[in-house]
Amino acid sequence: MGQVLVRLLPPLGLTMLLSLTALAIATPLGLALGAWRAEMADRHPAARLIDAWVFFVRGTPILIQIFAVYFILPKLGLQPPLFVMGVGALVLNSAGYQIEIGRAAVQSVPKGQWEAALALGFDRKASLHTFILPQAARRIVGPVMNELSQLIKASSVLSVITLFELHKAAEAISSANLRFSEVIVVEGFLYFLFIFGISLMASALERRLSAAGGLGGTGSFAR
Amino acid sequence: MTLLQARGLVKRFGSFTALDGVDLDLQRGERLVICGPSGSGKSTLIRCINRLEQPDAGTITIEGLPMADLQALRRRVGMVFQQFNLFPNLTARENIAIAPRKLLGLSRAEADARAEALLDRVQLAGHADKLPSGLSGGQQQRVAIARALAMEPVLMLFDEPTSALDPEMIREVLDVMVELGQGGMSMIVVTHEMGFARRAADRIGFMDQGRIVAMAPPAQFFDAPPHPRLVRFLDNILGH
Amino acid sequence: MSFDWAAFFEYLPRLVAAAGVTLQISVLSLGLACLGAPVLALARLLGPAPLRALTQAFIEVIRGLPPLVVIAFCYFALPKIGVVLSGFWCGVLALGVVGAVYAAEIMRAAIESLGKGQLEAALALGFARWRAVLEILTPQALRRILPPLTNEFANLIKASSLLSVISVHEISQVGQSLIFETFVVIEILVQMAVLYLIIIGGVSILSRRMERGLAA
Repeated sequence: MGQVLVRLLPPLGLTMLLSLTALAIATPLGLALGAWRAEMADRHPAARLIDAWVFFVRGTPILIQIFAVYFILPKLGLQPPLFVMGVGALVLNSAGYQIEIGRAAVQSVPKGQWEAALALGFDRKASLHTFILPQAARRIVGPVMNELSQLIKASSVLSVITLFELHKAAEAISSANLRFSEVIVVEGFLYFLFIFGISLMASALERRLSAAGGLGGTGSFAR
Repeated sequence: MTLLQARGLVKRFGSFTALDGVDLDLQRGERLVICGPSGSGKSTLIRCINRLEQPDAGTITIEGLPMADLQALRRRVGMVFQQFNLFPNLTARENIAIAPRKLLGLSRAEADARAEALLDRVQLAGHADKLPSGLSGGQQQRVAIARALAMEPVLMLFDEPTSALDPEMIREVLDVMVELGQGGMSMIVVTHEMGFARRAADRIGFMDQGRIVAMAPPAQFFDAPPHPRLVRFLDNILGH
Repeated sequence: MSFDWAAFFEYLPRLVAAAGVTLQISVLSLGLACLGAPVLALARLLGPAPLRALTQAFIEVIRGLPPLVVIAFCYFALPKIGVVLSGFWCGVLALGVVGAVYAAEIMRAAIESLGKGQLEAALALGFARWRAVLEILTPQALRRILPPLTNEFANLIKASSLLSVISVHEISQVGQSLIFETFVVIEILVQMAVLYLIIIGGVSILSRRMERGLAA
């Protein structure tokens, strides 16, 4: 088992690299779009586009989104490296979910805060930036950390396009040495360590911030 | 006859001592009001009586028995909460009838009859089929009192029953409580309502920092307060 | 780049048939999850301490793994202890277990969201803890679990796509094979996406109807 563990460490590194890179891009993108969307009229064309993106990402499995990136880009004449395509698919997915996180965070700030700011004479845009966003910021920490867990789980699906992250590597090793149970246990242990570890950190952070009404819930398994 | 006897009650929450060695006696039919500043341990004390809180030390006996069986204890002792805590998916009648039906084995007809008699008693006849969301705060709290009475307890505990009510509705709830006391129910009421205390209490206890520091009948309690902290408390609370 | 409608309709029947398999798996695993979730939730809320700890550990482990790993475990590791299931039934089992765990957490959250006051009121009346949970809290919690449970069902449907890796002929597997065989990409991808959107959209509409029904 020790040998298997050692051989799985580099692919684990790739898994974390994929997940963290995707998070770094998708989080500012998704949250900004989400906060912006919260203040947009529903009929605005940008709002429609954002809603369509979220609808697509939440209504289809991540595998489909990965296929979309993997098969369509070449048709458009692009052939980026596999890593980039992997990150691209993860960003497409994660940003879609984080739009919802950002929107919900802004909408969860009590209406009274808006009224107080407006009554003082701030316009809507200034109210948003000066008073609402800082309060919304407290509410995104938990959900965004949960998003990281979700990305790590989603990265395992990139095995389908032969990216040598943790799951693909485990699959390759066990097809070679036929010790499936052993390899799965080590692989599972590594995933669990990180995913559970992140959720523990997220709970601790949320307790410290103790924002009213935790958003994001217990996370889920499917994308 | 001594209904309730508590000796040496201690309760700590982490490093905070809520009850610091409390002794209490209550006679059958006696009406005791307990008041005091926030954090003095009043709620903790009565919550220890029906064991919603477990004391860290000390004993409580009811009717001379230590009452080890938790459910039996709680059936003998009724509690009314500050937040009413009515079951939101049940009508007023169902809220009152559910415990007698499920715990005392009454048939649905018997339980409903008992519920309706109690609704009558708390001046809410005709509201039997309403959900809590269709009742005012004062009405909900009266249903809550009826719900506790449905179990025919020997002792009623009230944990700041009017603190969450609009001022206009406090009177209707206090009237029910006064009538209950006049009918002979033994009760311990934690409250800030000094008018009620003067009117309806046999004794008033004042708690400060986890201890009962003064206990006296209303006349003496208000006119000749036996403890300096109580003097200050009464000044503040009656001053405005 | 124009849309090849001929190709679209040529492959549609096969994908629709695959959608049938997707639905079968989703419904069966949902059934398994609905059976398992109350068992897990109640074991965790009411059982003796060792059972509570064991259940909690099981729940945390399953939540801490990518579903692909659970699927791989059912397909590759279970045979080692003599449990050999076809790809289809491995999928149902794996997704059923994962679904049960997440549904159990939803139930626990729903009961906890009711607040301490409800439990205390029931306890103060003399209900034993287990009776309070079952007879007073659970009926209230049931209204609150429908939206998140629908969401989990949608997740199960999406997770069924992962069964393509163990060669179950659901939408993703059939679509992927078709793309590799025929090099027809956009038309097939669109069909796959639309099929999933219809199925999942249908579930959302159904659930909103049920919610309105419950509220009435």
